[in-house]
Amino acid sequence: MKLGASLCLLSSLAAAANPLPLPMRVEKLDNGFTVALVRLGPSGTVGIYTLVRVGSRNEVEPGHTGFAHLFEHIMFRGTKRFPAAVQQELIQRLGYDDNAWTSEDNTVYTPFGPGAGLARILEREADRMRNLEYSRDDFKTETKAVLGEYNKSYSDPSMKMEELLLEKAFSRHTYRHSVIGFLEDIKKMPLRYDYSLRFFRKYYVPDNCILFVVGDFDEEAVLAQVRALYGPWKGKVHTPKIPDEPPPADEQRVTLPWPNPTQVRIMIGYRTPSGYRESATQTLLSGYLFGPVSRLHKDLVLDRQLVERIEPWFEPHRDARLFHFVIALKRDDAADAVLAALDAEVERLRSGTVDERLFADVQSNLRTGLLLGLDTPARVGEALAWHASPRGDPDGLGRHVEALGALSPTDLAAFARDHLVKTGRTIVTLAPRAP
Amino acid sequence: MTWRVLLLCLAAGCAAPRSRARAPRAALPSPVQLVKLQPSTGPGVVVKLVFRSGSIDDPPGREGLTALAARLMAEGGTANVTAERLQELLYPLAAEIDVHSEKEVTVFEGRAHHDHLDRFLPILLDVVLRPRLDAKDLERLRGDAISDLEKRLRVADDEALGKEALEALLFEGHPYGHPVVGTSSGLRAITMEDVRVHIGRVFGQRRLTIGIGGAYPPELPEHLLRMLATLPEGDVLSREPPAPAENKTRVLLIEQENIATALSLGFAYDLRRGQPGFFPLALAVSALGEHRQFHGRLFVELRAKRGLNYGDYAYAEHFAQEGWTRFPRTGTPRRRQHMSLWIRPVEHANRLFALRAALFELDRFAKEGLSAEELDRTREFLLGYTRLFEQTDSRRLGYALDDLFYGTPPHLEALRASLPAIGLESVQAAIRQHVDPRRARIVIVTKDAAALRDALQKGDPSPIKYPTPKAQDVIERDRAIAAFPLGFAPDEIRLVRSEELFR
Repeated sequence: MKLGASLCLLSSLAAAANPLPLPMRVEKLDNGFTVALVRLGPSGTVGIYTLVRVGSRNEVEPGHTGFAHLFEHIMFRGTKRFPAAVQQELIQRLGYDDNAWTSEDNTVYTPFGPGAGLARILEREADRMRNLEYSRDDFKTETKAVLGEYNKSYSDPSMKMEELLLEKAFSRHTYRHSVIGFLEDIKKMPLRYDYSLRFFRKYYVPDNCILFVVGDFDEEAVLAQVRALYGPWKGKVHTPKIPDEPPPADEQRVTLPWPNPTQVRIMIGYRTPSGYRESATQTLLSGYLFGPVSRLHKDLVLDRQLVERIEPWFEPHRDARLFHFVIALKRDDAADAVLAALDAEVERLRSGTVDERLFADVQSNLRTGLLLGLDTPARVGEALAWHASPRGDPDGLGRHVEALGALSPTDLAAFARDHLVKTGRTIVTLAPRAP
Repeated sequence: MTWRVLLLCLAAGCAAPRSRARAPRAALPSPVQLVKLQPSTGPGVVVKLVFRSGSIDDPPGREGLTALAARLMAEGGTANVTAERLQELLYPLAAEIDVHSEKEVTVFEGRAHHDHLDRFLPILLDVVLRPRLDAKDLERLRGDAISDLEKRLRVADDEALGKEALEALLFEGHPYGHPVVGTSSGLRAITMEDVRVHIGRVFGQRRLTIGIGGAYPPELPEHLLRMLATLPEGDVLSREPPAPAENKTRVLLIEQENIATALSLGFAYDLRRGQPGFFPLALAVSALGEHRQFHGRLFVELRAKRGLNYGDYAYAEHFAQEGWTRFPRTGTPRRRQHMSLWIRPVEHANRLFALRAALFELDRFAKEGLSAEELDRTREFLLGYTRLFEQTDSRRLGYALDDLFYGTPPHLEALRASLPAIGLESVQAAIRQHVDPRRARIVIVTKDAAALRDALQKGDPSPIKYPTPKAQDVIERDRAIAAFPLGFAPDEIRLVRSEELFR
């Protein structure tokens, strides 16, 4: 199947500018494993991005948060064929950057390096997906590294603020906990080796994965190798019973005391739906409400100087989640004035008043920014994997771009009317110790 | 001033300059130099205006002036447009003007789609030729800088604090001795007149190098030269900073309310790109701990075998990460360098063991160097991995501009060309010459620092307990680590509260 046309939808967004040539060839193997090949110019490098559609969303058992992220670590512990030391040497000798990320909906493995190493890296990727093997002791040691990751993030209060925001915004859905998991669960991880084996078998299966190969390579040779390596892989993905989240009843506000004298921050999340159109709307809304030419930025950052910065945190998700953002205050006593300004701006939008020039500027920024930003195999691989995650469509990036281009100012107002409502809002305010 | 232009053609098809027989002095940017990459086919154009001006140019009592002035230029509007209007012009184009100040350089980087170049260039040029210098924007950006220093660095980013404090310790009393962002008192003392005078001094022709990359039109270089000819001459380049004096303090303990201990250690040395021994040492340090990779010796020993923390790395020169990548940022060249180790936060209970483990590995590195096998695979690694450093026009241009600073042939090409000839002997010699663990200075950001100070002074063994059995070789080495001699005299340990730093 050729999907080149869909990614070239970027061209329709790019107005008269150059279309972005991202011809994608997709093949689905009999076992449900999907491979998507995107050949770029002669960079001599290639990104091998494996999207596994498992994230903290899948962690349905109470007390067992953080396991999807734990596997982002464990997957580097090796297999019989590629034990950790062999794997490390292979990566090193091939000159690869070897890493991974985990989110609420996905875990993505991201080796990126010289094209000459592609065949060997594919062998290693397929082998660890199919034959991961780790001892109880290695497992325990790696859980301590996860604790280390939690610890290294702790001095910035953002992590704790988000933990609190999610706990308040969701009462049942697994989006209630953060990707790294609750600290008490991380501390208990060393005791849960057997659980980890079961977790792995449920989600590291062929029909739950999409492999993106992006860059400078021989398409036919890669396809043949992928069929041989991944074709015999067996297994069907487990469907977790994720509790339905009831509609929000009321606005929730909570204060987080903080022992160090950092700046006052406000983290806000509105409960919002998922889907290509809904995600595109929230992407645009982030720029419209909080971008550097937004009315709020001009008022709060440039003019009244109550706020240092506003950071939109929205990302597309599989299920309904949050339109959320963080406001870092410049004046510690400005929280009420800032919230009043936010409410006024949201109300303006909900009433149907949309600044059409600003809307057009945001749309223009997004499409040109995308054209400029996809300039390496790694960046293309990241974008493809991220946008494929919510629906399992390898061409999710194309769908996202298509949805962005189809939006009008009235869509923005309608979305705000339906979803930027106080009853669906959670606010966490950081209260740092005074200097 | 007469514009004599040195054109450096940097891309496939252009012969690389020959390596020089002797170590070059860092090159001076006068006459104004232009570095242009071969035009590429992508949609973007990148222009970097590099001034050889950084925090070493901050006047005493005005620490932070260079960085603040540069931000005011880049974000505060121009004679023609306000700060607000500046954003309104750039944003729809997805065009960006970033500025980054460092110890010795400040880089204004403009990026735009080639279709928008006609609209973008006049704005970029106005930023450096006709900055607006509005008092309201100065207050806004000063407030941001003070907040960055006092409310983020000091109290909300222990790892960054440890690194910044380590540099301040290594270079105390030296032009590198304060953070680029400034100090609390320095930032508060800056006036608009200071800014105006300083811009005239340090952002003039005499310190400027122009860099061009991406899909630019043939006339762009000449156009930029012509337009920037109206820039005032400004001051000549600051003199080469001297070697820093050895700080009497060997351990700086920073009291912080936190849940884990952050550690940084290192020492200043007289080694930089272009000097004999740099490539062998860079190779050795990569083997010790390549940034954010899984195969470095420190990572394997401290994290993979012992689960002490999230990661452990080593650096042969000042290092800053490029965005969310694992690659070094360009545009941070320095004539005075230091080697450092980054030990990511460890549980408080293990802090003394972790410090000893880092010192043990540094000591082993200094005494034993690399094995032949480590040398061989690190050589292969760097041959491939460094290709990833030059994937975008902006980064290729950044490296070319840094080469000019150091007066070297293209750094990455030269590194790769040198690798096959680097043998164990040259690696061990470079380590012997440049790595002396006794010179290491240590910064520890931790809770109850007084207890750690007492333990450091006593020097008693600090064994570790694991939740899981360990291999015999790990257990045996742990015994040596736990008893690793520290030898800190009481007056070599200093304890401060985080809020006392950079005042």
